[in-house]
Order: sequence, then structure tokens, then C-alpha cells
Amino acid sequence: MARARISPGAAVVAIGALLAIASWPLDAYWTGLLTQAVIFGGAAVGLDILVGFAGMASLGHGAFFGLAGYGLALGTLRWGVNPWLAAGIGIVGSTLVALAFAPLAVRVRGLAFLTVMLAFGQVVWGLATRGGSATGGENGLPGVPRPSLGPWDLSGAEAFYLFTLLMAVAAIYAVVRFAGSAVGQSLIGVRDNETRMAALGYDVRRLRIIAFVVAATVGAVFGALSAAFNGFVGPGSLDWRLSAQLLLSVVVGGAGSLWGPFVAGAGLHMLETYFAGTTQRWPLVLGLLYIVTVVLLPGGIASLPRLWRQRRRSARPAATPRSRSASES
Amino acid sequence: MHFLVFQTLNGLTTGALLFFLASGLTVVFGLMRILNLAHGALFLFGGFVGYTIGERTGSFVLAAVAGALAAGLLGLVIQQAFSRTLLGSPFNQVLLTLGIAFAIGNVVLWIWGGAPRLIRPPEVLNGSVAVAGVFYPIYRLFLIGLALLAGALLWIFWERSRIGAVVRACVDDRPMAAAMGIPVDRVFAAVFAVGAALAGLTGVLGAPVLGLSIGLEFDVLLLAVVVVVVGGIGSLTGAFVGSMAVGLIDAFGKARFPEISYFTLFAPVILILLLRPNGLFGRAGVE
Amino acid sequence: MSAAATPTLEVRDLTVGFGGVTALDGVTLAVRPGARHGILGPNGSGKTTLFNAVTGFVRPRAGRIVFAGADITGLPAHRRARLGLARTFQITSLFPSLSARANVAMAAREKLGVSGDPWRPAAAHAAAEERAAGLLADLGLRHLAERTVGSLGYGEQRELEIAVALALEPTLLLLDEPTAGLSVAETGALVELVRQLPAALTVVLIEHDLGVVFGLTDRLSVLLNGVLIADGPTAEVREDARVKDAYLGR
Repeated sequence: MARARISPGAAVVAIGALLAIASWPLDAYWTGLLTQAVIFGGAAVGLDILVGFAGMASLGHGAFFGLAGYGLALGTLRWGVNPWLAAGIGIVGSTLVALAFAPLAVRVRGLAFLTVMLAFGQVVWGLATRGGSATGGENGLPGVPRPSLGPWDLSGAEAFYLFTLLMAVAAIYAVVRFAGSAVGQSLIGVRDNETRMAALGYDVRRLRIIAFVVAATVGAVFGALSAAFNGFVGPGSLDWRLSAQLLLSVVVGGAGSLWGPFVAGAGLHMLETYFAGTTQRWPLVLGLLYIVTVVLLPGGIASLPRLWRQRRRSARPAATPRSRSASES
Repeated sequence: MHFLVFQTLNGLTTGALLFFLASGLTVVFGLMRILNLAHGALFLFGGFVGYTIGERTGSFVLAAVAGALAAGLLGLVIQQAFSRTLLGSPFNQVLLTLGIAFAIGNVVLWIWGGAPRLIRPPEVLNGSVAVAGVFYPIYRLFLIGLALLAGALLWIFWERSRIGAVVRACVDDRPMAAAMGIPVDRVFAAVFAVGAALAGLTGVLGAPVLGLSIGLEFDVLLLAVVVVVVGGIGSLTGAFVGSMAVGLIDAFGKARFPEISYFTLFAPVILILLLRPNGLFGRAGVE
Repeated sequence: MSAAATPTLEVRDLTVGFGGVTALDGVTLAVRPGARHGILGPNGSGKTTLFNAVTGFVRPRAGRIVFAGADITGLPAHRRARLGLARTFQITSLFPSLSARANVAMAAREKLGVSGDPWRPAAAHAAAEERAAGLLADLGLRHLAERTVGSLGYGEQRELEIAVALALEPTLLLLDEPTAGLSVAETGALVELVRQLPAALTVVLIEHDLGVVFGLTDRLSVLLNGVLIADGPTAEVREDARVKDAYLGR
């Protein structure tokens, strides 16, 4: 347990600033790659609230990501509203869908929940692909505009990257605060021992709904960012592969650690872009990566620091025999 | 009337293929609590091996046997190599089996290329016959009949045979079965391999209807998972009823409401699971 | 003294069944305020089912459950807990990934009404942290405060579970076999802990260890196959012929 000496919020801001500085001289390709990576990383952090904290593995989270994008696209392209308002419509709309579906979904657990969410995602995906001219069907909706923030024009790659970083820092900071709050602790309680939580007076159903909706809202924020970044939404923005990618990012990163899913979500996207451009073997690489993770690192990326400390610790007793740390293990 | 007969037969054909696929998946899950997401990839691998053997020998039967054997062997290798992880945390199971699925799918693409392939049904089953006023391919009718036969045989094996009793005992209470001297590990390996072989067999049997193409493995996997969870994990009866229901809903939904066919297929799934979280024929306490 | 006339817990004609099995059959009993009330009976006689029905984890087929004069038969479990009804479980029920202090604080935050705060760090709720630290100190568990519960010994976990339940400041505490699986020394420590609970707290306790039951309780109810076969002062019930036949005599 890394009881952080620096506050987690400060860490989020610091990492955001570092990413901003480090990317300053990058060209448009790298800036774009980093933008999308941050978006997927952020969405995975949101999903970690549901998976790692409340213990509910969802294979339909992409739906909330994509719905917000569709909201933004429909608002700007079909209804002609201001992009900010349209993004608001997308995020609020996606959250409302989550709020409506959550009371049903949280009635089931484990694999049934996974499957209900898979089915939910497929329903949304089906509606998007068969939506005819309203949703653009299989072709999706191209031409989603990027807004400007007052005098700040966000249409350039670099400007939008910085804007995405800003939004990501704000959203992830909020998630980290939430995760460390009394409610976040209660979600861990639900994951660990639902019966005990009820016996303590906690409304478990309500907590599960809260986790569901919070994860969906965070996903929606990054979904809207993604649509604005790509200038496009399509069925690929909410299909089950995206849901699987997000869920696996959480697992590969280490469920419940928040930072691990961010690293995995962003890293997997960058790897994918790199390999997809150079070889047809990306799925094989990805598959092997998953397999190697499970076998060598079952706790995910987040377990690396602990393993590293243990290694250093087990290396030390040779120098200082019978140290306190040796007797602990 | 013709529409009704035609779509019913289409639904039953899909249901038959789903049943072959889902029966293996559900027994493996019921027995070991392993949701094998590589099941679709084993299906595809078996199908392609069958395709090659079929092209070389011209025999559909040999193709089917080869597809089943190849997928079964691959399944056994997977089970032996990852037996510890497979019995571990559900998160890691999902990660591992999906990783295997991606890898197998890509290797299949590597070996056989991206062009879709078709296996021709055996000569004797070529052509169509009239069923209640509708001309329908004999091969598809054969599939429906085969599924009924396989369902009956599996049921008899499951409920009546000694081996079936052993496997059921392991499903119900693993520690107790082990305490009674049943070699649980070997039962696990055998069942996993048989499930994989069934998937490979389905790949060959389904190829004349569905074809073989990259990406198909996940389409069939999603449907099979739905069948297993809706039918009730570990229940062969559930897998049969679920397969036929999903096949029929899919056929009629696609024909009647093509715009919202995903809605007509998956909305009932949500409804059923909310009303019966353990599936139609599932037992309480299985998660 | 009309308050004393109102029992803390009243169970009237309680019947609970699972499928074709009747686990409790028309059980009626009352627990007066401040009592140390034992529930005795062989395995499968319905003791834990009685606790589950009282705390809202199983739904009775018939009968009423009245807590401090209020009918709670239809309330969900968490609402009953908020009314002041706390329990431990036969199989230790804690949050294994959290520290001992965090386990107790979880209960305290709900009781203090700050569990819904989604922003401030959980440990910033000083009142809850203080109550947790105070309870751990009171029960002599202070040295365990920062240990992860999953790493604690079984006896320590059983004691911690009582601390967690007490953090709810209950008026009624139900203990389900608190000494099951404990060594002789651990049992002694736990009995001492129960003995030192505040006199105003009503305690109902399921226990197999007759020494523990006779030493701790002033009233005893005996269940056999879901039916209440004896109910009265401990000293009388332990001499009851039917009880001796059914349970004590074996």
C-alpha cells in the first residue's frame, strides 16, 4: 500500500504539466497520438471506479463513451447548436441514459452483469448502425467541428492537445478525489463485502448505481473529447471492441489503482497505432501482451512498484541480515 | 405462411450451430468457472483446418474430423499451459482468454490470408427439398437434425452415463468430488479439450452456411456467450433452449425489423437476465 | 418506567421457509432492554435464520418483527441497521483489503451521516476517525489499527468485528457464534470483551459453547428444528427437562 506522501491530486496536476511540457516541440503526428492516448487513458480511469472500486466488470462501457460523441455530432451537425452546448447535451444525455439503465443493471452481478452490459452495448451499437440518416448508419457522422474557447482557437492539433490535457487533468483529479472520499471507500466496501455494508446501514444498491453513473459520466466526457478530436463519430466509437479495450486497460493497468488503467489505456493505444502502421500482426502482439501480463504480472502494471520494492528488499537482507523488513514477510 | 416456415428454418439452423458452440462453452464454464473467450477463435481455427483438409482430400467428413481434432488439441495445449491462471481471478481469465483469441485470430489470418473461404457441403446433402411449401437447402435441414441428435446424445451422456455423472459431480461440488477420488484435474482437461473440439467441429459444420472469415470468431462468440448466460451457466438444457431462442429471434428480427434487429435480439437478453439473474435453467449461487 | 415495559426486540409468530423447508416455525420471543439473551440449539435449528430475519437478510413467510416498539418487518437490512440494530456474522464478515481502523471508520461514517461525501478524503472525517480509534483502544485492539484485515489472525478478526458493529452505536447487538473456531485463550478474551460491553446495550448471542452461554446470559431461548422449545431465565432453562433431552443431554 503506497500511502502517498504527496497528495494524489497534486500528482495528477504534475503529470499533466509534465505531459504538456514534454510534448511542446512535437510534430502534429505525435501530438495527435498523445491526444487520443490521453483520451483512452482517461476513460479507463473512469471505468476503474466501476470495475476496480465497485467490483463490477462491464463489457458495455463504450456505449457511454460513444453516446456523448453522437450527442456532440448530432447537436452540431443536425441541430446546429453551439459545440459547447452540443458537448453538454452529449455528456448529460449519456449520463441520463446511464442513470436510467443503472437501476436495472445493478440488479445482477458478476458474469450476468458483464453480459447485461454487453447486450446493452450491442443494443446501442445496433441503434447507431441502423439509425439511417439520423446517425449516418455504418458510415457515422463526419465533420464534427472543434470549438474555440473564447479567443483560444482549438482547431489546431497542439491547441486541442493542450485542451484535452487540461480536461483530462480536471476529470482525473475529480475521479481521484472521488475515489479517496467516503463514497469511494464505501465502494471498496461494496466490492469487498456487500452483506457487511448492508449490515452497517449502507444502501448497497444506491452505491452501485453511483459507481455506474460516475464511470459513465467520465466516459462521456472523454467520448465527447474523442469525437471533437477526430471530427467524427461512428459505430466504432461505441462497439464492444472499444468496451473490451477499456475493460482490459483497467485489468492490465491494475484494477483499483487509477493510475495503472491510465498508463495501460494510453499505452495500449500508442502501441496499437505504432504496430497498426507497421505490421498486420498487431492483434497477435496485443494477444501475447495480454497473455504475458496475466502470467508475469497478475496484479497489472500497478503492482510493479510493489514488486520492485520487494525485490530490493529481498536483495538487501544479505547486507543487513535479520532486518525488520525480512521478518515481516 | 412461407415467410414463417422459411424464417423458422433459418432460425433453427442458426440455433443448431449455436448449440454446438454453446454446449462446450457452458459445460466448461459450469465445471471450471472459466468463461473461455477464445471459444470463437477455436471455432475459426477448426473451420480453417477443416477447409484445408477438405480441399486436399475432397472429404467433408475428414474435414470435420480434422477441424475437431485440431481445435481440441489446441484447447488441450491452452488448458495445460495456463491451468493455474485459468482457475484464478475472473479478471485475469477474461484477459488471458481474450488475449489467446486475438492471437489465434491473427495467426489464422497469417496462415490462411484474409479472403473469406467457404466449405462445400458433402455431395449427398447438396440441393434443396420442399418443406411445407418452401424449398430449403438439405444441408441446413441436416444441421438442424444433427443438433437434435447431438442434443439427445449429450443429454443421455450427461444424465445417464458414468462419465457424465463424474463430470456433473465435479460441477456440483468440486472439493467433494476430489475427496471421493475423482481425478478432477484430468476431468477438467478432458472437458476443456472436448469443448474446444466441439467449437472446431462447429467451425467446419457452419462453414457452408456462415463461411469462414476473420472477425466471425467474435460474432459467434458474442452470441454463444449470450446463449450460455441466458440459458443458465452449466446447463445443457439451457444451452439448447437458449440457442434455439436466440436463433429464432435473430432470424425473425432480421427479417421483420432489419433496422432494429440488434434491439430485438439483445433487449430480450437484458430482460431475461434482470428477471432471472442465473439464467433460464441456471442454479442459484453460480456466478 | 413505561420504557422498561417496551421490549427492545419482539418476534411474533415468525415463520421462515426456503422452498419446501421450514427453517423457523411460529417463533415468538421478546428481548428486554439491557438483556444478555442467549439463543441455543443444535446445528440447523434455525438460530442464524432467526438473526437473518431480524436483521432483514431473509424475508419471513409470516409473523412480525418489532424493534423498540416499531414494526420493522418490511424494512430492508440497511434501514434496520440505521435504526440501531447491529450484528456480527457466523463467518467473519469484514473488508479484507482495508485496515482495521478503516473497517471501523466505515461503520462510523455511516452512523455519523458523512458517508455520502464524494469529495473530501475519507480520513478527513475526523469524528469518524476518532470514534474508530477510540473503539479500537476501548477493546484493546489499538495495536492492530493500521494492519490490513486480511492479514489479521482469526481471533483478532472476531474481536474487530465486534468493534465494527459497536461503531454503529447500536441499541441491540446480535452476536452470531462469536467464539466459534477460537482457541481457549482467545475465547476467554472474547468473553471478557462481551462482559465489558455497556450495560444499557442489549445483546443477543448465539453460542455453542455452553460455558460461555451460561456465564454470559441472563435469559435463554432454545430452538429445535425451527421451533422454540424453551424460553426463560438461564438458570431455569438449563434445568428444563426437554432442553436437557434435546440438546444438553445429547
